[in-house]
Amino acid sequence: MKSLFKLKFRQFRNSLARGERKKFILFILLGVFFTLVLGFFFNKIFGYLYQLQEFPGYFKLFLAEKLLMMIFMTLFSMLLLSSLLASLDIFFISRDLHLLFATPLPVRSIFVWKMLEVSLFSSAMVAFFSLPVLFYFSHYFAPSGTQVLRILLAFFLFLASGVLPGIVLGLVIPAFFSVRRLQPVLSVFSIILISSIVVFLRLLRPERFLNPSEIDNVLKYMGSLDLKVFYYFPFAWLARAMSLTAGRESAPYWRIIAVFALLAGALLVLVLGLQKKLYLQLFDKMNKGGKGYFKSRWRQWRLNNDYVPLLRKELKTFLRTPAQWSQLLIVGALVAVFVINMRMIPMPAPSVKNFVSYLNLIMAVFIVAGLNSRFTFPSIPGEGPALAHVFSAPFPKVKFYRFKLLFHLVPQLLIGLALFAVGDLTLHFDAFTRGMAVVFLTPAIVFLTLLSLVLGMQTNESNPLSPEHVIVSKQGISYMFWSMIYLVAGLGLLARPVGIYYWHRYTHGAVPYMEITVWFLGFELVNLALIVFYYRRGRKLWLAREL
Amino acid sequence: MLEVHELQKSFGKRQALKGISFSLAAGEIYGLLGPNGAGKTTTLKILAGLLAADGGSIAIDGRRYHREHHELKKLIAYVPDQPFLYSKLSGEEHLNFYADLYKIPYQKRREKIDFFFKYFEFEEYRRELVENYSAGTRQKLLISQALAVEPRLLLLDEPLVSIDPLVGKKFKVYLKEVARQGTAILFATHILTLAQEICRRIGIIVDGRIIIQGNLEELMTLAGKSSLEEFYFKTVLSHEKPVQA
Repeated sequence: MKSLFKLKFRQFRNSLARGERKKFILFILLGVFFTLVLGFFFNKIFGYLYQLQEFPGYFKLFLAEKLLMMIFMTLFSMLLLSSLLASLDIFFISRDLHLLFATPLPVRSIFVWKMLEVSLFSSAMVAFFSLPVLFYFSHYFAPSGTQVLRILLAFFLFLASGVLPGIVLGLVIPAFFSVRRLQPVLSVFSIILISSIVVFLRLLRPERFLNPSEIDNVLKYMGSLDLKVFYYFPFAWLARAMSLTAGRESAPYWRIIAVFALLAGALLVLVLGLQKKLYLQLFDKMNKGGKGYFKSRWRQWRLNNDYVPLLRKELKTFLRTPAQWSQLLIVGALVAVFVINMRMIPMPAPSVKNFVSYLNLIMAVFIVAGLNSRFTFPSIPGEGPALAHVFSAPFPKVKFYRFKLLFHLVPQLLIGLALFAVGDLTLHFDAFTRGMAVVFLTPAIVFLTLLSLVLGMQTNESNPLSPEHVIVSKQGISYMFWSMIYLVAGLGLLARPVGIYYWHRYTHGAVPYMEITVWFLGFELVNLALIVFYYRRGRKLWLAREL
Repeated sequence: MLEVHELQKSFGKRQALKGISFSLAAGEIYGLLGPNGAGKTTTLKILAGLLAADGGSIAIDGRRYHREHHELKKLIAYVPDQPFLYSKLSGEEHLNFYADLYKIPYQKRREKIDFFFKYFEFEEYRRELVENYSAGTRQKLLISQALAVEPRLLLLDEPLVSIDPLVGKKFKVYLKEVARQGTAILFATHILTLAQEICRRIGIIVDGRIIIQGNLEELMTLAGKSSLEEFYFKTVLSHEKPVQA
């Protein structure tokens, strides 16, 4: 271990001597700058909480604890992800490993050394960001030396509880996935983490912190901020331990430290066990390259229809491209937040509900427009020259065009209508709003899908490109521009009949249904013309397409 | 089997094919030779339906290709010059996908697929995703895909690129066998030894025109050359008048 430490120290010293000193100093200066900015911010927040006169001390601490929990929740995710990535890099790819394994050093020593490296690299950034939080919390709520030491102990155990699960995952994931599939697996993992943070933060409803003066019942308010689900996570334990330290409650503090230590100890034992059982085999696999474990299910799924081979191909390609389907997780998280928001919107008057229903439509179409830019637009450029297989086969070209349209249109139509239905289930809109939703959503989604498909096929790229590349093409930007123009124009056109209806309802006058119907019909006719035009244009372009 | 008459194609101002004519009988192997950019791939792509001709005509079994291309495509299979495949399908799934497009009955294709995985020695990659294939394995898959649908006209564009010599030899043996069974084979290549080994007839295409075509042995005897390589260089370097043997 001593020689390994010396090795690292010399590498660091030599890197400074080789002229990387400037880079190092710049890095330190940037870090100090960010710490100062964060320090200024947290000084204001904790200072404000500390000086509030109208609240008792325990309530101030309670609010500070909830705030800390949100901060540490984000930092915990960072810790987990960076530790996972650092594990894969340092345990398996690191260039010095082959050299180290060739020495008479025991594998366990090399592993423990590498584990320390992982811990240092993955927790450095989190520790850096946490410094101002810890400093200003201690400054206002826990200023004595003993309190600071207790906070630091809890923080250290928090770091261990974040780093060790990352290491466990880093050792387990390569056992289940081939080397080539690691990158998509990691992107899925990071997306799941991001989605969880989005949902968790929304569950905490941070907007309630802005208005504590309106609280009529402190206990009720405190209860509403308390979410039992967080009690199982280390970020909540750290926030609680800090709050208990500030309140000078020793026994409960040590109970939390015991839980922390137990978790960290158990994870450490697990990591060392995995090292003994798996590490060398996995190291071998990662460096030689492993085969996937994919099994074909083609035989089980045979239907007699022209579109079935294409449907099978599209579904398999979609499900085997985590970068594609994992985007749906983010959409799912946003929808969850959307639903939570819907349930929590205060309804002082029924008219607000009508306004919300209108906003709900905008939101639904906006999401579908986004889905089209991510999935429909790149679908044809993403095929690339592999289209030659379809073009050279006795399969009508026009059927491929229709298939691509339907493949994206049907799920998006369902998603759009489901988004509206969620709002309806929560707020119980009236029959007019439901009718309006069908009148607006159906043609809007058909048109947007068609627009994205037709503009997408005009990108004329000769190589299969990733969706991220395709959407920033001239046609991609054109799609985003025209879809937004369409949305604004469509909603503007519908604002008139909607306004007429609700105004007459509000004033208890007779609703001019004939006028409203004429507006709606006009809207549908304009959309029909656009849809027919774009469908025919797309078909013409498609049939003339050469490879 | 195949009659191509005065085929023309332009890309913008550049005329890629300036009136190509040739014919191919059932069971015949015809090699289309020529330098880069001469028009070999364009000719094959038009026959495969990837490009539309600007002029000229194609007939297969006496039926006009532009009128009945959907029906006639059932008789044709194409191996492109670049091994682009659907990377998220396994090799077996890719073959099934292509066979589905040709509506080949399941049992019939099953036997063929099993045979080609063994014959071209890539059985262990059968269930591996195509994205993990080497260039050579991709090429084997493309060739198997085209052969598995049992075409009557096989279009091959540089089929042996990236293929190891052992499998390449097996491929040549198999090509001769399918030709013996009546499949017409048109292939474009730069590998002159390959053309000399398996083609009965060749056509040399330069700058969008076939400058010479005919029976390989007769052509070489006429020109007094013992190898196709010598004959090719002499012809390409001094092409002024089209020659018909």
